[in-house]
Amino acid sequence: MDKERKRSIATEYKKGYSVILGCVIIMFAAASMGNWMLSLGYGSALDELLELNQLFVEIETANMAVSDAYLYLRESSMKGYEDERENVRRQISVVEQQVAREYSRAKKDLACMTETYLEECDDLIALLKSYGSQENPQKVSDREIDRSFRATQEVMDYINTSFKDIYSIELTVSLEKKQTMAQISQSIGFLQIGLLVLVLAIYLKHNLRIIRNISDSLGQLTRFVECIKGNLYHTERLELRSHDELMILADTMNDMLDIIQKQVGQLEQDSQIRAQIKEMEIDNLRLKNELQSSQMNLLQSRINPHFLFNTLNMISNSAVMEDAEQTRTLIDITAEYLRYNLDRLTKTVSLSEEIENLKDYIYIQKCRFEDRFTFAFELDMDCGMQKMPCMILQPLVENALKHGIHNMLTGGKVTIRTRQAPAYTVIEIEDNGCGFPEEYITKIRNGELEYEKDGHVGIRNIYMRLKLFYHSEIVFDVDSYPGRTVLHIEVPRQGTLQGE
Amino acid sequence: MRKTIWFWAGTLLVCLAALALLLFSFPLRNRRKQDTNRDWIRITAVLPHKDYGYWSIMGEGILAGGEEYGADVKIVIPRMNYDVAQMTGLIRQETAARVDALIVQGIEDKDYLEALGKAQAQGILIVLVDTDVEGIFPHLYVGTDNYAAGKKMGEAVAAATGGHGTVAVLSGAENYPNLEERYDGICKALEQYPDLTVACLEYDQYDSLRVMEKYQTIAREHPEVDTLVCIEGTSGQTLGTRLTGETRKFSHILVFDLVDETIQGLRAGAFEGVMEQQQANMGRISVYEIIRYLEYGGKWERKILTDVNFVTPEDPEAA
Repeated sequence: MDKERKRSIATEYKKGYSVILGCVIIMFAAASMGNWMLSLGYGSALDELLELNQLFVEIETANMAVSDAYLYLRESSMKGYEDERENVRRQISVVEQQVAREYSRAKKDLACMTETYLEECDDLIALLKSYGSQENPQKVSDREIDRSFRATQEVMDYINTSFKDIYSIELTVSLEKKQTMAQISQSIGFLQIGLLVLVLAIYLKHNLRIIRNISDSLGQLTRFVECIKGNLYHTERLELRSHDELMILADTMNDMLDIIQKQVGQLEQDSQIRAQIKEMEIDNLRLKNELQSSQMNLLQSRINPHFLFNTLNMISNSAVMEDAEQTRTLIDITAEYLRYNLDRLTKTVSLSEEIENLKDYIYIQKCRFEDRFTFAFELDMDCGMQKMPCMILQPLVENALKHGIHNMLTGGKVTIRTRQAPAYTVIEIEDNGCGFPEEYITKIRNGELEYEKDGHVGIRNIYMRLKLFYHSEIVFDVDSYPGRTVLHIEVPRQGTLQGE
Repeated sequence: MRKTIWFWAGTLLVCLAALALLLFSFPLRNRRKQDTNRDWIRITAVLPHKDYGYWSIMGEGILAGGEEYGADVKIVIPRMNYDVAQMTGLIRQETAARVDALIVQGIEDKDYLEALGKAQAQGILIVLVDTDVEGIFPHLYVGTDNYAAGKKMGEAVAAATGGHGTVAVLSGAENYPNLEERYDGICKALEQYPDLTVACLEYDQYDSLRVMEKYQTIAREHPEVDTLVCIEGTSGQTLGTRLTGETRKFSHILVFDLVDETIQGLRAGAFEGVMEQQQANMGRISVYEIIRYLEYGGKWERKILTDVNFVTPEDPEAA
């Protein structure tokens, strides 16, 4: 976080300002230094010329004193020369220092010539003093003095020539130096302008980069927000590499989107669960309603069952006395069938009990329709103890008679089939009748069967009772076309029973 | 990260440019300061004239010696060619400047030698080049062995003419020792060839106009002359630029001093050969000897004679 703060937008701008400020300071410091050195160069050249000129002035002054002393033998002139000689010597040392700083043959020669000149002058002054002395006036001849004076003037001529040469050389050098300085000054100017342009270019480039980074980041943020607005479940995340506040904002938006998506997912999951619970509650209510309705029907049918069975028993006895054995058997089986319905309707029965009850029903139907229909049983004896709700098979066979083969005058056949699988028991009711209508098959397969409005406990009733009984998914399917209809049921095996 | 590299690189560039700007200004202060603290040996060569030949090459040799051995060498020349009075003045001027050594030609002139003597008395080393003067103050002589050079020239004449013919000699000035030694050498060499005789000796005074005048005079007044021998440099330089093998009036021309003009004459077929002196080497040797003596001492008063070489058109020097 600290690192990111260091690279914030404000820091980037500060960096740019600092660098341009630093560069400008360095540039102007360098330029000032350069100008100072140029000034030193000019000043140095001028100083050297002035010092040389001062030497020339001192020599001229001394020479005037010497000439004066020679022409007029004035002691004041001799004294003046001796004073001036010290000035000349001082100035010679200045020139010698120049030579020591920067060797120059011409200046060195000049300094030596001046020394020679002073020595010649000293000799002349000494002669003049001797000449003017009262003690030994004849010791020094005029010729000797003339020769000595000419010697001084000869050296003076050389000095003048040397000065002229030096001035010429120095002025030439100064001119070259001036031209060089002018070139350098011009170059420095160009360099300064170049540096200024470079610094500005760097600064502009830096600012452009910052602005482009911000613009790019904002663009990505905007596009990201647009995507989120259109699709809350947008899976991609915003990745900025700007290392500034916008990157922090992007990371925060990513985290926020994660939280929102998680919460919305939970809400939807809760909503689905609630919907499922509600649906199950509705199913339960409907089953209860159907069960209550069924029980009501049952109660209605149990009205005075003793009277019914006593009557049937009396009729059976009358049939025996009248030697109507078939009638007696029919009445007994009917009584047995009714007794099963009335006694076991709300109880759990075994598959074999259901088969026995179904056989009673078939016997009655055979008596009714004689050989018009045939019934076949293909039973697996291993699943005889399969527990199941009462009155499941009979309504299905009745359905096959009623809707399948009812209209067939001969050849109608219903086959009841059971089979034991490792985990479930299979029950199939097959007929060769006209088959179910297509929409009816679709409804069965989609679980959309409606309660039959004629009060008959139909296929939906059986399906709901099996589902309620086994508390789990059962297979309830129908395969039907004209000439063959198979109702296929798979229920959990006996061991998984929970309904008792 | 990569995006910021240019930023720092640019900043660094600015700093470097600023530094360059600073350094750019420094040479102004530091220029010509090298070897300032050194105690330079000051040598002045007073040469007789700037002839773009012999003496110019000698001057180049002196300057090269200065560069080579580390001395401050100055060459001064009088305004007029061979103006001895001016040369004397220059010697006095350099004496007043208290130089360490003077390189001059030996000229038998009273004032000239007096000025040199005064300089020598002040402790200035005197080197005579090209021409020596006997019996004066202690000095060093560096120059050609002129007598030997003359003999070599005589042998060359004999070789060129096959030992038969008449010879004319063109010299510089009368009583000039070097030239007289050369002339004597030639004569000595030609003594061995009885069919080779010297018909005349003329002087051009080191002047080109006089050279051409003498050239015509010899051709006109001595029609028997078939060989011209120029024993000083100006005549060879003058004829080298004006003659070819076809235009020359003598069958054989042999000259002194290998310079651009005489090489041109060799290539044009004007000359049979040129006697090459080692004048550049003389200058270099002079400077070397001065420095050696000032630094290590030893014997100063000596003669150093340099050799000569006869160059023909076939030699590489003429190419």
